[in-house]
Amino acid sequence: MAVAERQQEPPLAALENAATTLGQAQEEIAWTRRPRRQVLIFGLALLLLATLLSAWLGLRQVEQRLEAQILPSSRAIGMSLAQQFEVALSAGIPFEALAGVEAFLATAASFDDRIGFAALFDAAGTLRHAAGPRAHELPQNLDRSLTGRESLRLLDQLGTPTAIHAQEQLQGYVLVGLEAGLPAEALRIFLLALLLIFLSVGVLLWESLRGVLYQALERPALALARLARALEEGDLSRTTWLTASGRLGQAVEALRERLVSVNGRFHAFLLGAFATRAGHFDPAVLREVTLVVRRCLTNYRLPPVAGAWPVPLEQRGLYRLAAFSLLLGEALLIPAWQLLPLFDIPRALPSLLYVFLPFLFAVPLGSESARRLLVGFADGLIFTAGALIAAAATLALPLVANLEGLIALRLLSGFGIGIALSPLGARSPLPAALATAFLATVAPGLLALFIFGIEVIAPLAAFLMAAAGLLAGQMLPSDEEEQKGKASTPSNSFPWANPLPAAVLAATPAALSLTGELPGNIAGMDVSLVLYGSLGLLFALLASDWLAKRWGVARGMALVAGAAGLLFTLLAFLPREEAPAFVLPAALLLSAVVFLGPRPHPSYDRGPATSALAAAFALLGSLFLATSLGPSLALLLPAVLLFAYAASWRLA
Amino acid sequence: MRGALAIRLLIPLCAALLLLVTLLALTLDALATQSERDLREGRYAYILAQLKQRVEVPLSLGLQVESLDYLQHLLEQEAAAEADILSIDLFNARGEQLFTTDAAGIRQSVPDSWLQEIQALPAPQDEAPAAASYWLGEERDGRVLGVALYNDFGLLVGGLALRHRASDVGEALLGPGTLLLLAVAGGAALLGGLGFWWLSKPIDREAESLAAALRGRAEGPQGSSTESTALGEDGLRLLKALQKAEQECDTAAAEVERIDGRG
Repeated sequence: MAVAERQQEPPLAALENAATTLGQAQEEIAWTRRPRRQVLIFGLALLLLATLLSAWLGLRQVEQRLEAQILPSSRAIGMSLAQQFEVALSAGIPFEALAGVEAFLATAASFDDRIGFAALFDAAGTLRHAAGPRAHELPQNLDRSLTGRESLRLLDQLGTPTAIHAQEQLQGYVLVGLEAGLPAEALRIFLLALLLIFLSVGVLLWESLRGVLYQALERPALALARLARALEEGDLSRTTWLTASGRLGQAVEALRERLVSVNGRFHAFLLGAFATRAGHFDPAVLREVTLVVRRCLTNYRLPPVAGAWPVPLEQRGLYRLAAFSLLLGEALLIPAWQLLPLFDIPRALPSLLYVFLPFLFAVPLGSESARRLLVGFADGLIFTAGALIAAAATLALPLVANLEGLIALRLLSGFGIGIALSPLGARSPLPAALATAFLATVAPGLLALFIFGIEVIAPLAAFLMAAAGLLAGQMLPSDEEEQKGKASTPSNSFPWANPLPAAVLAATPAALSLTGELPGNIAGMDVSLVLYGSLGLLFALLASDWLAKRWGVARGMALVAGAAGLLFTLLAFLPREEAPAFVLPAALLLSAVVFLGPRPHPSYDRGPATSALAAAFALLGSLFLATSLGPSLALLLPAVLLFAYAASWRLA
Repeated sequence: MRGALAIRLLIPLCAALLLLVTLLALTLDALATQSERDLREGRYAYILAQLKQRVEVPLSLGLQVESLDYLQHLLEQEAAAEADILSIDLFNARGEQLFTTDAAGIRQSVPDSWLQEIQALPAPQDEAPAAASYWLGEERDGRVLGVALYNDFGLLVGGLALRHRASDVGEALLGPGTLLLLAVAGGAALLGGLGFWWLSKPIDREAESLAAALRGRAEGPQGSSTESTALGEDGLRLLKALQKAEQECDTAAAEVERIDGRG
């Protein structure tokens, strides 16, 4: 199409034609993949190294700290034993002839699991008697003097030698060895916690680096690439209002100035040409000038006097960053619900009911209210306002004294989140943001739960939400182009399969709680369960990505959803004791379905509202089925929803 | 600003490292505090077992606990041996305090819960592991552990309870261990800054030369150089297109001027 023809197009239509999908945008800046991958891998590798080194050094420090308790314990038990031996020796029994010593030492050694051995050495350091689980590993001769030693490390056991005297002469030593450092069970918990912490911090770092790279590298690169393409096609009517820090930002700014200069030059030429025309009456001269102007402008499209149009930029990364940072606060609260004063008696089902249902019902309300009442407000402003409402409701949580107050605050919280999510609509990858936010907060949330309690967690979550609202809200696009793009989007169609994954997710906890997989008291939950769940979720995300690339989203997801549906059906009919073995695979497949999910229909921007509403009804339905028909039959609800979801791809 | 991308990448890395150090330090502190408490309570349980033996032996001779005045001195001696021991109490089966090292001396009888705990302990004739021979609980200013006292006939005659100070998680957080972890994080941040600077250097260099070329101060990025990215190619395309447009505009303007001059 010639430039002259394209100049006849209305600006909005031209913009819509130019608006490209995420995949196309990625292709245009394919060169950024390598540096982006390098930065992400380098950042994670550095974090892994720092984690391993810190863990090793930390364990050494803990061992040193525990020595201050191990040595007095060894000394206390050793002194007591030595006193008994001294009583026997003072009765005239020779040291070599002491009898029944092993049984006596065994009584002391069995007193604490941490005691590895209790041993009696003679004055020369030769082992005479020993008892305890590691006594048989003790050397027969220590080959070193025990005189005056404050501590001795043998077989990873630490102890203080206690001298035995009789008639003011050294007769021997008692040595009680206690396990140096953390006990095996504590070490196991630490290693699990270490994995969980690395997982959480790694996901957080990954998302943050992605956000920075998106802002500082990908968007300027995309702007440059699209402007280069437009200029090559002779389109001088394009520019970009993007501002970015660093050299790339300076290049974009220089380009913007240069474009103004070029456009100025063209306008000066046109003015000159018009002046020439005005100063001459010879038709041949006029025709010649017109021909020159036409020839020149045939190849170029100039901007109107009012200014140039910006090249469209892909915004998905910004929406993802905003959704992720907002949901971080809400995800941080998840493990802490049962610490609320109202939930002193650990009850999983009522907690779910009171905490999640009002929230889920209020999200669509907030989202729809914002869509209808806040027309004309900038997206960033709406996002910030919603996030601040949610933050205020969260901040007040520790003050709540009754159930009505809790429900009111959860309603307010959901309303705020609904408002904040409304500008993101169907364009934000909400499931992925929710999953990564959960992974990033699982370790800090659990640790804060064990150590601090809701009084610290709630303000922290509120701070995260407020910071997300204020910082991410500033980044959301509020330019005219975005508003026009929204206005041109029809919103009356309803792709019915969109909210199904959220509904499936919400339909499972009530039933799972009754199969014994959701602990009644989350504070007493095994760390390994959280770790395996988080690793499973991470695995599901990676597998989802791989599946989508390998098989195509439609076929792959229909198969996975069908398989998950079958597993849930199987769970419903299995005996209760055999069910747990199938729960994790079913949950993994379900995660894959939810987080690969259907990409929201481009013509539909009520994603958060319908998803939250569907999730609320699914949770309610699941609770109703679980209490009225039993937990097994309640598992049929997610199965049916999964089959419906699988069928939706075929129907589509 | 040169290195702006590296600095922006460094900020989340520093935040992540700080979070990592905080979480690790808290986890280690929680585990160390728990282990310290277990060790301390194991030691106190042993002390109580020794005291119990020394109290029960005279009972087998038919003596009453109330008559054993030396026990007060014995309890004080054991309590003075450890700074963390708050008090050691000896009480009879009705809960009346017979001997105590509690300087505050605010009560004549022990809490009912202590009596319930010693009644729940296994009797001496039952075969029970060592850990089951004492009870543990929360008390004012710390924790308490205790043992039951029996006479020769296996009848409960009272109990011994030892109150001790318990440290909370986080109390020892700002120690040399955490400073060491912070030093590791600082080193990692430094390494990260250098790495990010090195990784972003080619992009910065090309963007700088593109900006200079767009402002007319240089030739522009070299698309064929070994370290160049596609940014250089985009930049060259941009520059060529801009120069072509300017050239055509200048040519047209010159032509109009020529027509103007001729006319």
